[in-house]
Parts: sequence; C-alpha cells; structure tokens
Amino acid sequence: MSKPEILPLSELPAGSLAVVSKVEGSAELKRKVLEMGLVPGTPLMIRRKAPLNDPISISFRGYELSLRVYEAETILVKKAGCGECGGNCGSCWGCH
Amino acid sequence: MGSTTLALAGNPNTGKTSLFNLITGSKQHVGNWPGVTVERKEGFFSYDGMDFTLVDLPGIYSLGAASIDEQVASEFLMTAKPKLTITVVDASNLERSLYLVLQMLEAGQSLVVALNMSDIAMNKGIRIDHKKLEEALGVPVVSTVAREKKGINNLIKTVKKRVDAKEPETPLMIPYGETVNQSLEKLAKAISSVALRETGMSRQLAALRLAEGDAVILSVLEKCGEAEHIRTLLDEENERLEQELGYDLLTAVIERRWNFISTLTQKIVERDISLKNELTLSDKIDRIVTHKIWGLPIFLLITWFMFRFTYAIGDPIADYLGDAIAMFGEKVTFLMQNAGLPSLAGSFVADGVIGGVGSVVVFFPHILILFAFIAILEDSGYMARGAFVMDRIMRAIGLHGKSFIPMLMGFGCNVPSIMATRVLERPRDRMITLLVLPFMSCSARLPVYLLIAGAFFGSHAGTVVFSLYVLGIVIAIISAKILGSTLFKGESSQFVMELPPYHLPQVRAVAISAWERAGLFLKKAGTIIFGAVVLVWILGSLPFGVEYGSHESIIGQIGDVIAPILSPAGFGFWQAGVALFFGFLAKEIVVGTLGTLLAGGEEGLAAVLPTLFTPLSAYAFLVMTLLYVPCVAAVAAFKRETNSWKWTFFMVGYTTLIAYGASVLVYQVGRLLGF
Repeated sequence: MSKPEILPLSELPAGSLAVVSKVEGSAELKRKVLEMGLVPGTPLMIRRKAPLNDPISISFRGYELSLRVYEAETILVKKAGCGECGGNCGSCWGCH
Repeated sequence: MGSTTLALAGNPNTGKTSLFNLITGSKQHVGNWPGVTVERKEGFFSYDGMDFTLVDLPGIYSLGAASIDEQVASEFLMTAKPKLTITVVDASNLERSLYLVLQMLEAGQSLVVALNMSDIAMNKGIRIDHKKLEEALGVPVVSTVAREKKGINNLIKTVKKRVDAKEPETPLMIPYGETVNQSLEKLAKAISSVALRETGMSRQLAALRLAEGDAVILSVLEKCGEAEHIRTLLDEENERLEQELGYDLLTAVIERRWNFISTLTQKIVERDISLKNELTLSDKIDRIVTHKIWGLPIFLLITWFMFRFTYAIGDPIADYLGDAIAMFGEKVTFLMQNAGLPSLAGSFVADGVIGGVGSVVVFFPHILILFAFIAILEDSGYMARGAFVMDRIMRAIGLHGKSFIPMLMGFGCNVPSIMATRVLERPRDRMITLLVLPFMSCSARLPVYLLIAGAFFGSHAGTVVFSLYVLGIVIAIISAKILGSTLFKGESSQFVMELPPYHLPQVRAVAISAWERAGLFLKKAGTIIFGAVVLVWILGSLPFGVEYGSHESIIGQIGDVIAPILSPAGFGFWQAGVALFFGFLAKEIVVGTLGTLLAGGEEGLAAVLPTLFTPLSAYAFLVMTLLYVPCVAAVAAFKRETNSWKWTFFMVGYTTLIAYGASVLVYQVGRLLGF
C-alpha cells in the first residue's frame, strides 16, 4: 500500500474521514486545537460546512467542533477509510 | 470558624451552572475577577455544621493561560488554593471532559468528580464503570443529574468527607514515555530553586507548564533571568522530539494525555451501538438549521422574531412603568407643595430622585425578556449554530459570528444589547463588538429623527431617517475594521468552538439566568445611572432660583461654552448644546428639551426650528444625535460589562469624537456642495 498523502483538513469535502497527523499554526491556536483533543492519531469526520463554506464542523472523540477554514488549514491529516479507527472514533456514525 | 473555600470547575455545556445553583441555592454573590471582564460567582452553603464558600470557575476545556477564562481559573487554583475542587464531567461525553480532570490531578489538586448528565448518557446507551474510573483517577466520583436534582446530597456528603480526611494528594502520574520524560526532566532540572519558589509549583509541574508553553511561568522565569536559557533548552528538545517522534514537545505532552484518556475510556465505557438516537436527532436538526441555502434565512428569521418579541412585549411594559413612575413623581411633588415645601425640593424628588429610579427601572423588562431568549438559545445549543452560519459574514465586517445578536438588538435598545455581548468568549471579539454597538441606532433616537426630519425634509423624511440607520451601520463597520487592526491587532479571534448536542432548555434555568442579568443591571448599572440623573438635575437647577434647564442654569452656561465648538457643525447655539447634554440621560429627551427651550413645548417646535436650523445643519444635528455618546444607561451597562472605567471613558471619547467629526464633515461638505 502506498503511503497516504498528507494534506490540510480544510481541503477535504464534507463527509470525509481522516486521521490527524500534525498540528501547526501559531502557538496559541496550536495549543487550543491540541487540547481540544485533535492530537496526532485522532480519527475525525468532516460533518458539514457553513453556508459560505466557512467555518466547517468536524466530529471526533464523540463530540462536534467548529473551526474557521484558516484554522483548519493548520491541521494536517491523512485521509482514512471507514473502520480504520476500529469503531472507537465515535465519528463515523454514517459507517454502520 | 471561617468558611471553607471550594471551587467548581468543568467544561462548558456540562450542566455546571445548574449544579452550582442546586448546591448553593439562592445564597450567591456575583462580581468580577479582579482586572478582567470575566464574571465571578460565589455561593454559600452549610453541611454537617461546616460552612462552605463555593467559587464557580469559568467553564473551560483545559487549564493553562491560553484564554482569559483559563488564566483566571488556573490562577485561582494556584494562588487561592481551594480546599477541594468539584469538577463536573459530562457522562455522555466522558472522553472530552476528562482532559481538564487530568490536568487538575497532575497539578496536585484535591478533587471530587461529579459525573453529571448520567441520564443522557444512559439514553445514549453509554455505561460507565464507576469503580474503575475512581481507581484510575484516585479520587471519588459521584453520579449526578443536575436537571433532575439527583445526586446532590451524595455529592456534598462526599465533598465533606474528603475535606475532613485531610490526606495529602498524590499527583497523578501520566506515562509520558521515555523520550518525552527525558525532555521533561531536563526542563525540571534547568529551573533554579529560586525561580521555582516564585512559581509556587512542584518541579514536575513547572516542567509540564514549560512544555505547554505557558506564558505565566515564562514571565516568572523572565523576571529571574532564566528565560533565555530555558528557551534554548526547549528549542533543543523540540528539535530532538521532532526527529524521534515527528512532532514537538507541546504536541507530545498533550498527545500522551489524550492517549491516557482514550485507553482509560476504552476500558471503562461501554457503548450500546443500537442506541444512537440522540446523535442522529442533533444531526437531523443540524441538517436543516445549518443548511447551505436555508441555514441563513432560518437564523435571520429566529433573530428577527426575537427582536420583535423582545420589544413588542418590553415596550408597553416599560412605557407603563415609566408612566407610573412619572405619575408617582407628580403626586409626590403635589403633596410636597401642599405641605409648604419649596418647589426646588419637589423638583429634586420628582425629577432627580424618582426620575433617576425611573430611568433605571424602565430597562428591566427588555433585559429580562432578551436574556430569557439568549438563555433559551444557549441552553438549547442553537446559539453555537447561529454563530456557525453567520461567522463568515460577520468576519467580513471585522466581527465574530456571535456578534450578530447583540448588534441586531442594538436597533431596539443599546442597553440590553451591550449586556448581550456576554455571549462572546474572546476578549477581542467582545471588546470590538462593545465599542461599535453604540452606533446602532436605537429606538430612542427615532423620535428625534422623526420630528426634525419631518420639519425639514417633508416627503423625503423617510429617506433621511433611513440614511441615518445606514450611516450608523457603516460607521460601526469601519470602526470594527479600524479597531481590529490597531488596538486589538495582537489578539487573535478564534472560532474553535464546541457545537453541543441539542437540549430542551429548562424553564427554571432560563428564568434564573434572565432574572440574574436583570437584577445585576439594577444593582451595578443602576447606581451609575441614578448618580448621573441626579447630577444632571443639579446642573440644571443651580444656581438657586433659576428655571430648570434655562439659559441661566449651569447647564445653560455649559451650552454657551460649547456653542462655539458646535458651530462648525452648523448648530452653534446654546439650546442645541443643552439639548445634547440632556440627551445623555436618554436620547429622546433631545426633542423634549429643544421643545421646552425654543417653543415652550413640543407642539410648536416644528414651526420654530427653521429659524435656527437650515436643512443641512438639521441633518448634521441628526448625525450628531445618532453617533454621540450613548445614553447614560448604555454607558453604565458598558462599564458593568467591561469592568473598566478606562474602556468606558475611551468609548465615551471615541463616540463623541466620531460624532463631532461626522457632523462637521456633513455640514462643511454640504456647504461646499451648495446645500
């Protein structure tokens, strides 16, 4: 299997599944994002985008969080398929 | 014996406030944390012969100094050292809630965990192994359902037992792993004992705080001259970890904590996969209210309804209250005159004292209704969605998604809308919204527009009034942009915000929240308003023997002094100055004052106005009325919400300057254009 591509969270369409690989951005934002639980290895799902495509909302660890697009740009992710989290992500409610 | 101090901590949306209300009942005190706008609530209760003071910390997700809320909470825990902290955890969202618990345990705090919303968890098919959670955390865990008042006694009993036990806490050790521990140890060793004493932390904790990039500890090290050395070490360690793990120390520390939590919750939480109604219900609602096409219209419809409803119910009640108070004032004056007291005394009681009370009380209905709506929007979870759909548009004009509701409400009355900025969490977003809000043309300014525009612009009066509303919005947008890129340049706005699952709001919680806001307004803003009303009365009545507000009174003299200043704007006569001065009490008074001073009443005013104003100077006067200092009640509300005289004076100065500049500009440019 080829190594999955790493891309900013902001580039994925609604409904995509992904796993966090790294968080960048300013110290303040980075810490906030990490402390909300978006650490490397966290599976997440992009739930929806606001009417003007910004902000977006994602779900992970069983709850939903909104982010502006420029904030989502600092979160680098790998695309994932369903079930890669072993059913523990609480995100892919659409899976079953 | 003194009272034992406890703290109450927890994430937002965990039912912390309900729990606080249940534990402390009505024995509460609301104030501000020193120097910041964050509200500080304290409650008192007794149990088993012991008195407790419970301090409600702001709702936070983590302990640090990233936001003012976090800073306040961390500082309180470190310096006030409460005997014990009750940490509220959302049982239906255990994983997310545990991060804060973990950080508090690491900091060596004594805790009792309140596992709240256990009913919702049950409905979602989530079962939590209580015993195992207690064992893993090493602190007591008590199930509560604050909405149904369940588990409160048990919680208090456990707290008391824990306080009595007085056993020292052993901080929780999180397995950070070899690589990260090496960095932490190096950091711990690098801090001198002197600096460590200054921070009041243990060596391990200080190292963790450094790894988190905590600004407070860094500033302490800066003072001790150790910051540079530590920064170099941090850079080195970050580089090493980057190579070994692929990310820096900050990421590593937080990642390990979450890892610990995930491992723990996998062991103790059992999920019944067949029960997922709650989630899908929230999801279904969201599909409609955040819909690409319908999301915005729905939001606008809801806020429009809220606006109409607040003023449709509030206005008649406020009018009734105002009339009743005015009538009472007249009665008192009449009685006092009959009793042979001088008319000045009667005027003082009626116009000064009773008028002052009246100017405070008339806002009560609007604040009550508006805050009931806001509580419903927040408790239900819709507030976050409204901000979500509005954020992009509001950001384009330099504001935040949550600024929309206060800005809209401002068209009714600035006072409740200034208080409504409370929904904005980041100080930057909140301050900018607060500073531009007074430019929203409130309904008290409308009578001034109607009368003057009617007198000068005939069939175009409607257009003129409309142009003033637009001008207010335009000035607000420009101001927001300017403020955002100057005074608040360094601070960033954030939209990393939880979208909580929908709940049916509780009548009790909504009522308490509305009542509390309105009561706070009466208490805190009321004294300022009352004082200002009495002051204006004194200025209007002195020296002895002059007619109230006449040319000979102090106010009339002030009018004379400011008249030349106002003349570049086209209305350089003392009556205009006095009218604007009285307008500070409430903007609609501008009309009444002009009427009294120019025509002996409002009726003949329209006929007299053209002798003093040209259409152009009348328009400049309207621009002035729109933009200058909002009324005293709005200023008092502003002071109450910012908790700062400095910002309050800034706002007063800023609005006055803008108003003066704009009206002069209108008049001078208008003259050049030949109007």
